[in-house]
Amino acid sequence: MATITSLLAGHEIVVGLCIGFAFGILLHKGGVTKFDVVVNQLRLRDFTVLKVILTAILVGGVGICALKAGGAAGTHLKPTVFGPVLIGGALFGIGMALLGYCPGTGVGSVGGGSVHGLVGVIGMLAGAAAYAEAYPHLKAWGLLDWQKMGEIAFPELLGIDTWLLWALMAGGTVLLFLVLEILAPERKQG
Amino acid sequence: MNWLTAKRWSPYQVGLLIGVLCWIAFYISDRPLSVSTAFVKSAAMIEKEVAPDHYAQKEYFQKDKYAPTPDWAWILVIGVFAGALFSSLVSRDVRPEVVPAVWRSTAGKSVFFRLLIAFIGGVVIMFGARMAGGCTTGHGISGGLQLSVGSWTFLGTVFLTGGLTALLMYRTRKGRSPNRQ
Repeated sequence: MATITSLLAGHEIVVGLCIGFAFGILLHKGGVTKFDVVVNQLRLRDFTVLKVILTAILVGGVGICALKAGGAAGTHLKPTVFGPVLIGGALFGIGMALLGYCPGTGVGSVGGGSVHGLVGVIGMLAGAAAYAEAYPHLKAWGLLDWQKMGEIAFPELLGIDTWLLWALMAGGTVLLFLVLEILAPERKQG
Repeated sequence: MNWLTAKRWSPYQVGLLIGVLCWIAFYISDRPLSVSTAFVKSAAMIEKEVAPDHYAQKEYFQKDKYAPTPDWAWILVIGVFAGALFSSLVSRDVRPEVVPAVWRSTAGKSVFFRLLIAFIGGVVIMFGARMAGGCTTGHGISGGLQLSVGSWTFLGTVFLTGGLTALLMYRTRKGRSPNRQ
């Protein structure tokens, strides 16, 4: 297996493009590049987005946990800083309701012909530039370090074994999916 | 190849495959999937061309990961567009959309208003993503699957504020809202 990584070393652009291409296909097939699907998730009328995200976290998390245990993957945790995560997250949620896409699904929506999605992508570029303008001020105010906790994950925080936590998460997620399928059954779409 | 031309797959199937894609990204590239970082790089590229002096003064753009050159994280987003375009084409699901159905039935049919709010929404969502340090992909999926406390806090905050905003904004105009006539 080590030959795969050494074979692909130095081709990070090609690898990144292929992974992105597959991600784009999956976002479209999942229906999450559709404005109505995203907005109806936020309105609690369609649970597609939640099902996609939680399944990805569960499958991805258990696999990467195993890869890390075998020394085949590194840790890429973002530091937890509650101030900017809460304020940034709130802005993100409001923006997502207005735009009807998140950054990845917005880019994907353009591939399906979404004109307002393209306008949203241009808005996102402007938002990135605006943040670069605001950054020195936010930093000077101390907002970006407000309630800084470092790179913490739930197993350490709660003092329980990672695999036990995954077992509990898997049980909880499956239970939630069962409840969702009973209350709001998945409709067949062509 | 019926599976490839289908317009939709089960969300569980799609979630499972995105999870597997995360294994591949961690194993082969030693990187988590992320999207919003690429927007900073693109903004940096544009600003470097359009206003080089102004660009050079921006502290935020000087970080290595935002260098205005294509890399894995940047090309990934190009790939997302290409993949979604390919999938839409093979399943005959390409249709120009300006005012989507839910918007039309709740906020009206004005094209200008929809595009204005889409632009503002884009600005706000990316400003928030950069402040929080990631988006639905970088924080939500990649951070969530590593059980990061900050990433789960982000996900919870996004669904709470996004849900409240959407419930207030997208209300069907028929009956039940006498204030709007």
